[in-house]
Amino acid sequence: MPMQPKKSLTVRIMQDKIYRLLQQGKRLDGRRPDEVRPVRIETGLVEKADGSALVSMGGTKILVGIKAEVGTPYPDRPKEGSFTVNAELLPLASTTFEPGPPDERGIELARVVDRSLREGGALDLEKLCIIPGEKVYILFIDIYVLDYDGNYYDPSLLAAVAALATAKIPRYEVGEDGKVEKTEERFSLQLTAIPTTITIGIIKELLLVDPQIEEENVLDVSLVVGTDEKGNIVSIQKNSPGLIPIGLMDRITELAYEKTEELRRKLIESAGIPLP
Amino acid sequence: MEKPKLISEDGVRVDGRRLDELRPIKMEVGVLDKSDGSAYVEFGKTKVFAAVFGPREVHPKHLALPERAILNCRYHMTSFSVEDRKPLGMTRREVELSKVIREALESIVFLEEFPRTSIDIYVEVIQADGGTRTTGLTAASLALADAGIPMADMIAAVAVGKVEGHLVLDVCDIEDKYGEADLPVAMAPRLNSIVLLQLNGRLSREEFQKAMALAREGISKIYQMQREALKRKYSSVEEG
Amino acid sequence: MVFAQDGEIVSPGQPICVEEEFLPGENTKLHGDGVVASITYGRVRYDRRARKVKVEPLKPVEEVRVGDTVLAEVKEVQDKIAVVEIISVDGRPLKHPRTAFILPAPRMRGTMDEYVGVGDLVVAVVINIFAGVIGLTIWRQGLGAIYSLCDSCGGLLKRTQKGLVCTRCGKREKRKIVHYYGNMARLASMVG
Repeated sequence: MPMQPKKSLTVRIMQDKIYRLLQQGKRLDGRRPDEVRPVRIETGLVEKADGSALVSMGGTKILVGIKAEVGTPYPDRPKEGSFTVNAELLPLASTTFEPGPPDERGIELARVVDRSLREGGALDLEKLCIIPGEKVYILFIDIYVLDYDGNYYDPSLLAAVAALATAKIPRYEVGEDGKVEKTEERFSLQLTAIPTTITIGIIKELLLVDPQIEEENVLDVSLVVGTDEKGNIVSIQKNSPGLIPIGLMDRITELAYEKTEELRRKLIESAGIPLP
Repeated sequence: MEKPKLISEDGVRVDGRRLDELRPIKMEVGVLDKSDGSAYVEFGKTKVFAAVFGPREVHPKHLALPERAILNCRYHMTSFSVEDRKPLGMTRREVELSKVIREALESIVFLEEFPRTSIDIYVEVIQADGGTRTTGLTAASLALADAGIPMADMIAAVAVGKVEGHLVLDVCDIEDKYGEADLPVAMAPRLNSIVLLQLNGRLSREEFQKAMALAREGISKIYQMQREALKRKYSSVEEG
Repeated sequence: MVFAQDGEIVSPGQPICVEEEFLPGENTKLHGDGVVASITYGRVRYDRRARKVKVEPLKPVEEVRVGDTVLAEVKEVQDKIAVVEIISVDGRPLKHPRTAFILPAPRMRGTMDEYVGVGDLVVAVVINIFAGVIGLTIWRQGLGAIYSLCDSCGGLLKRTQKGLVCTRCGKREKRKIVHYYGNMARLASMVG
């Protein structure tokens, strides 16, 4: 067994309790180790956003809103629109979130969601082009953690995908004078893939998915794994200190595929997303 | 954009309301589990969460006061709460509104009961359609009650506007934008006191008096709804 | 005049009765017009014999009171006092941990580090609170460290016939301990 970093007595006590439960196939909140908390997805509640979704995964609540703007494309990708993901861990969500500019956790969350969407190929960026080399749509995908009971990664991606899938983006057109103008019309983004992630926690040699806060605080280590519906792994993030025993990787991968697929089905059903 | 007609000949407003009519209001208490108290309030399309943490130890410690709790308040809007995306972080407007909301609440909370602690209030506007500070304050007051914080009274708030020469209750965004004046008012009705008052625009003395009377009428209805929302939460706990 | 019945839920500022009927008790306030109103979200309770009314909070604010038995983690040991963080009160975990101080025994010989060490979990009783500063005692029977860590290597200290010995480096340490020192089950129940 590798040595994990030293922990305080209270952490050791809680970890011991959770480990004993895991050995019996149980958890603090009555779930099985491989059971995800109930997921609820509500879309379109922020009418001023071009797309929005409120996702709760157990006691964790995430609000994502999308705003489209028009800007210039990156010089190396003149025919592609772009998107940027931001995340704020709002202080009303947890005693551990401080007011102020996004800290490293918020930035990490945004970047993991960004990579999962990007590498997962969720958006056809060429469809977001208005005038090649000049004007493209830029989507701002903003994530707000409203209530934090552990694992904000998986519900954030679910919310981002649900918001994108149900978004109605204002159409801009090139007018007679060559200027780009906003029209009354709106269009849907056709998602080209539906990436989902699952967070897996490890205590000693045992695995659990979707940790709630008491578990998250005492895990030896955890990681987030994202897949697409074609069976590719599209993102991985070891998101805590600690050591992942190499021998566990096969079980982790297997579990990740199973659980991301399950979340994908839930997302498609409850948000009414058409399959790409 | 050209100014649209906001009030019809027979006194009907752009969203179909009478001049002295509030928007549809929704209030829910205890909506965010990780806080000590929370509330969600909607005034039409204005949607706000408020959450309270504490009393808890002050960080950094040197800010603690030996004779009373300090009250912190952060009023913040999500980037997609407004028409044009709001940049992340706090704007000067948000800093100012945080202060006036905090000062309103400081006047009713028994801070001396909790020396050397802080009570932190977070108001998060997820959609702004006028009256966000008053909706936020109404929600914050519910969240404080839900957290069990002792207070001399509840605070209810509403904004009165002057639109095309008429005084209107509970201004929405478009009325605020094209109107002649916006008067956000918050009161502690039991204490017969005003706890927040701002004016953006111009009113005659007579108009001001009328506007305050109109605000007071609206506030007494909102105050009643707050009490009902608090009662409702407990009866739902009892059943569930 | 009575505005709210016994058992009714009231919110802050809500009138309960007039002073002539019942005197203001806990969580109520007498207003200038003779009305007794609530200052908290709670349930009205009349005491007809004492002619008093109080409000029982539905969600009381988390507080530490004099006389409470607490479980605390030692954060810093100074010459005559130790700084601790209270984790739970009478077996209920605190949502917001509070800093407190273990005060020296009246005629304490030696220094505090002979009784507690950093990282230890101790059982203590609140003996005073002044201006928000919480003072604790461990100088009574049944109080003291329930689990301790070695000052040099952070290993768990085990009780042996020779006293407390580090399970990792073998160092011997001095502590004031409770009789059930090292009882994990009992400790877990106190952490909540």
